[in-house]
Amino acid sequence: MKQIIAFIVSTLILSIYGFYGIWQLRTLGAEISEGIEHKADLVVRQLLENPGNWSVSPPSIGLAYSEMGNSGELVYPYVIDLNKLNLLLSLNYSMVKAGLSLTDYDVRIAFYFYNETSKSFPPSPTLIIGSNVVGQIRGVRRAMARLLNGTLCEVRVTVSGG
Amino acid sequence: MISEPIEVILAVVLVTIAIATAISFTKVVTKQEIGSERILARSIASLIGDIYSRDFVMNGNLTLREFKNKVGEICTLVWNRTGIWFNVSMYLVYLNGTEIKFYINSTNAARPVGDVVIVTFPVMPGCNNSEIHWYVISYRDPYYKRTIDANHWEGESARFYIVAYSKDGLPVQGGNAQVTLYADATLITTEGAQLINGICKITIDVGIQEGSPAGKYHAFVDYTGPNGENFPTRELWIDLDNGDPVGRAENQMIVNETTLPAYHFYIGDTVYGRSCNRMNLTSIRENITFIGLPETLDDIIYAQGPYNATVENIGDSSTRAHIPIFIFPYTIRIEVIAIAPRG
Repeated sequence: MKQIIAFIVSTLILSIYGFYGIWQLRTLGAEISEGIEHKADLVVRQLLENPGNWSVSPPSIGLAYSEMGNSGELVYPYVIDLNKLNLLLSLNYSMVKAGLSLTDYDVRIAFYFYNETSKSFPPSPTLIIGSNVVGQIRGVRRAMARLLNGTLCEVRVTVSGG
Repeated sequence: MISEPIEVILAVVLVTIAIATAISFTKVVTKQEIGSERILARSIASLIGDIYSRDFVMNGNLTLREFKNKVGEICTLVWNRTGIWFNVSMYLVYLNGTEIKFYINSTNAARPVGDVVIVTFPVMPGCNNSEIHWYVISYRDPYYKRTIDANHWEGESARFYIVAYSKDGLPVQGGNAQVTLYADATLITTEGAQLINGICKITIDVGIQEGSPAGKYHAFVDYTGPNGENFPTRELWIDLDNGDPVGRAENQMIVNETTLPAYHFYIGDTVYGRSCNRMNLTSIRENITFIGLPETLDDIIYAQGPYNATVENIGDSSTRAHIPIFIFPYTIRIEVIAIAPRG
């Protein structure tokens, strides 16, 4: 009888520890994961919704096409300026991270350009910028954009680490 | 083999822990997925807004039908790539704040059951390109003439509208236009006028002329922009048919609800006709035909910019006249509904 009671008590204790452990892991995982997801959101919006400031070092990275006129600067969100994309390609990885305010994270930006002839996106990215190493805890965001000439493009941003 | 009650309890506890773990992680994954879908829907709304303003409104590369098809193609393309179903609608926002919703297109697949993300995006086509576009239209084509005697003929007054606009369809403020009119090779006269709100009308009274009646009016039209910009001269040949050169006058007009001639309308306004009950509208993007007058501009097809309205009384081609109108800028809201099938 004593053995049974001891076994039940120890099982209960183990169960409580088990639940506690799971709860802690879940909270920790969720916090890290949500933080990274949030970062990934911000990177997409910075990258594709603003024209950036390419005249400073490190540049504030933004690929949105913009034009100056009498009434100010007109920005076209999710319209990629190829000149800015070329500038982004010319940056080293630490500059890319600094330009996206991601010093403590790794980032990988993949571009898939739509092929009008085959009416499809390529299976592998046309262009990759940033880290080739992607951590286990990561946030991935996909967004559709297009070039000034109308070519559709899928941009996939992966933020990992932290 | 479970043989003791205590082992049953232990098994139940372990299974409960496993289920609890699965449930708690599933919730996190779903939350992340919704965040991802929101960004994707936002990008699609913005992309469609750009196609609407640049390709449809400003460049006129697409008709409304082609625009809707393009939206459907994008929705289906993204569905094939991500498994997320999209539906796109547009709201016309009137000056008084009233909104009317129009369905544009959706993924070419049955609407799935799942989490719904709705994103709305305001669009107002505009550009900083100050390049001026201009054109001239003749109020009548043909004009009428009649022979008075062996040495005289009378011609109908020639009326011309000169329209100047920027790439986003807004009227150019200012500038001067000038029309030099010939009847065949005989100079009639030269008249000029200043453009107000992108439009001016120049009337040339032809009256009684000597000689045998001309076959055509020949007009040379010049426009100088508000900052002195010069453009190549435009040239028009307009037929002269036999008829009453006085009776038609300028009876056919586009008017507003106060019955005054009007050339500028906002979306939601009503276009009325004077001595005409039908019009065809031509813009850089499409021809909208057989519009009965009056007509309320409450359809998504009426995008901002200049239009050439060809008005007439049904069954009487002699009443046909060409009048330019501007539809002024208005706001569009694009709504994208993303549904990720789950279950």
